[in-house]
Amino acid sequence: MSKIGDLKELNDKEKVLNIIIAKGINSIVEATLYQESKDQLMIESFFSNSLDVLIKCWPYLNKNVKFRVFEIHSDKFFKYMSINNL
Amino acid sequence: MKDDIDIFIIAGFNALVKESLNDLSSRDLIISIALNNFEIIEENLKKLSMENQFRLISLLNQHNNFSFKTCFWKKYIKDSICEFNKLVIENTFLFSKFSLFYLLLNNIKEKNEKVDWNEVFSNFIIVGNKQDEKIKGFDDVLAKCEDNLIKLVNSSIKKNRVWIKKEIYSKIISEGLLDEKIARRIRSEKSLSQELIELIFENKDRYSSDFFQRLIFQFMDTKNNYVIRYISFNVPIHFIPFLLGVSDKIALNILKDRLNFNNEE
Repeated sequence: MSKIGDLKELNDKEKVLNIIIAKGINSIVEATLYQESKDQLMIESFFSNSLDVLIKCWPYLNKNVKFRVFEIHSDKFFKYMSINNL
Repeated sequence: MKDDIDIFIIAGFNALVKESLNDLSSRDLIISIALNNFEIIEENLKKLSMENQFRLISLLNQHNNFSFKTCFWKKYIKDSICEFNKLVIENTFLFSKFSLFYLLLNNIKEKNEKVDWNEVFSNFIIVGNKQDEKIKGFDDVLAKCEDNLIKLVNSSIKKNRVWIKKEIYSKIISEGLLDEKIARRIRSEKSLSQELIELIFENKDRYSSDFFQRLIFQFMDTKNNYVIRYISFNVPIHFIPFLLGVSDKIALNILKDRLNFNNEE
């Protein structure tokens, strides 16, 4: 539970949804890591258009996924992080 | 973008439910969601894969979380039952999971919600006939259909797999519902009559002495030596004079020996 945190914090619906979204991203990215697919295009599009969601999910994303985000959109991502003091 | 997020939510939920099979923290998270943010489950349950819907229901059921949000569960089951029935018939391999789903219906204590157990049982029969072994949950659903058992036997029992026939006949015998007509059918079941005659004797107290005698007479012309010898050995002593016309010599000797022994005493 270290990443997910104390169960009491999970009263917060947004946080719970972020955990679930992160799990979804993790599972789809892991499944499509080494293949060209419709899912991968969807992920790339999501990564480029939804950085705010990605940031919220960040603590719960797998290393592989984080790496993928950096790989595809490092410039935008670093810019976003620096703007938001993250 | 909302569509993308929904896709990730569903994928995440599916992953979470799947992980919960082996991972305690995922299990805790689901329970916590059910307790604190049930609307997330309400919004997404129907979107999960069937298998994961079942896993989630099963997990919540283990934690007695069916005791609240009854309205939601009631509607969910009403909406899902036809879909499940159809899937069960088309995909035998799913049945072991869905049979449990039917049992969960029991846990929703809604007096006004009627489940057509005969329809559920019909599905069990259809799927069961594709399987060589007894399917999970069969006993429980069978128990719900007691009122319909005789009708079921008289209409279509011959077409079923041996294990289904055995379960249905056993239920009839142990519930005290056996009649002469069904006893004749059991007599004709070569592979079953041996086991079932023992069960009939085990349940003889459920029948009046006269009626039990009439039931036993239905087996007297059986060609199964085991059955006739079993009857000869176990039948109450006052029945014996009525059985002395049996053709099997060993059975006849058993009956005579028992009579002689009784007279000597």
